[in-house]
Amino acid sequence: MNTDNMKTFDYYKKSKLLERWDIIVAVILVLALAAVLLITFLPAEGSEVEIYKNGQLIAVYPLNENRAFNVGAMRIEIFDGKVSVVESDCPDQLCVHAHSIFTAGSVIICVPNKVVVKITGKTEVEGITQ
Amino acid sequence: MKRVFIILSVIILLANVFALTSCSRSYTAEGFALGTFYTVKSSKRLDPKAIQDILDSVENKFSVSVTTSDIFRINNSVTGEWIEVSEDTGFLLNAAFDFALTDNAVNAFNPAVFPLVALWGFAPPYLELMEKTPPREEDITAVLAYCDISNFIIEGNSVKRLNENAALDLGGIAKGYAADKIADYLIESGAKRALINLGGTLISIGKNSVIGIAPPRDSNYSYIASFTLSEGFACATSGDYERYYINDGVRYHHIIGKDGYPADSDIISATIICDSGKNADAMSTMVFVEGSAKGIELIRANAAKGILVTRDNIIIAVDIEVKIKDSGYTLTIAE
Repeated sequence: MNTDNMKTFDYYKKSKLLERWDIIVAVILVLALAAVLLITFLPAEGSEVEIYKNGQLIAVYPLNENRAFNVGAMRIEIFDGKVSVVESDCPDQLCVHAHSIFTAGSVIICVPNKVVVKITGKTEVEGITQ
Repeated sequence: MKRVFIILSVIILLANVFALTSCSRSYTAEGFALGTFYTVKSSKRLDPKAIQDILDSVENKFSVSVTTSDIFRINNSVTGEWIEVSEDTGFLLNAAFDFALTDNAVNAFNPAVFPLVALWGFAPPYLELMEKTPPREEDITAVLAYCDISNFIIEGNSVKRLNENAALDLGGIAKGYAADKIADYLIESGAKRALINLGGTLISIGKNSVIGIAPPRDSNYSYIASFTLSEGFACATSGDYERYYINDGVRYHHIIGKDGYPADSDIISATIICDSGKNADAMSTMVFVEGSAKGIELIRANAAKGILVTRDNIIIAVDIEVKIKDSGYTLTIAE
């Protein structure tokens, strides 16, 4: 055994070790990147229902619990993950006509009562034309 | 390996920076105006009061029910008497009358249709819309006779009413015009990227925006298809699915056609994409009234783009790329 050989052996061992850590770090980084991309681009399922009256947030409910409640003379229902206005005293009844909502970013609006029902979360589209 | 490490780190750093910039640098102003709800998102800090003021001022000029509005004053004027209106009203009335006189589609957009809208029960305050019954045929014929812009004369910012029963309503164009005003304001105040959504009429400023089309009938999705609204463009939709009532299984909606009855073309939703909110708003009504065949001609004659939904669940894309979301609809491309 001469010293040259020993050196080569040491270096080989060292570099192998380094490579393993490189791989571990790389994997962690890739996972972190994937997580960031997922959070950025995946449309989150709507999870909460926000109720606004006159521009003020007055209530927040989870979307996955069935419940019915009144906002003034409006009756709002959360059922099977969908939200709808089932009754309202407004003359135009647009909020009652509106389809039930269940995806992030969807809203039901009652203009006469100045009520907005909104599902929180990130959306796939930036707006809806109607 | 070291190189890989460095490259990955750089990518992640960039992704984080991108994620942060794309999420957090946005200001929102929301509120109620013009009988609808609006959302304005901008890359620059917004002055919500300035936006509300612009919209309120538009409403106070064009409302059919605000007693001091230009339109109310015209509709309640003594026949033959000149009424002075604001520059805004003069401008928009001229634009609306031009649309009413469109070749091959006269009165498909009709700013003088208000008496019929009222007869059908769709004028404010929309009392008991759920229990409405349609009007009698002879009443429709009688009212239709004076629902024509020829009962008005406009000279500059002066308007004269010739028939005491005639009445104007800019509801089919005012929302788009108001959105244009907000767009002008945002650009003047230095907003680089913004999206205006005034009750479903949208304008995209400084960026492209992905926009969904509202389901005209029950759907398992919050939008049935999507498209890209290019920077500087506006879109508006007319449909039979918001203001309506059902009597004896028949749907009566608020867009009254040329025969005095709710428009009954092959289209249930018409989205128009063009260079101004005002034009998109008026044209969506015209195309909804005229139906798909003539609608496609009108869209192209005005250098616009369109997305039409027919009664039998076909989405017709007119010179624009459309992505279907709800598979209950089939996409066809207009020839």
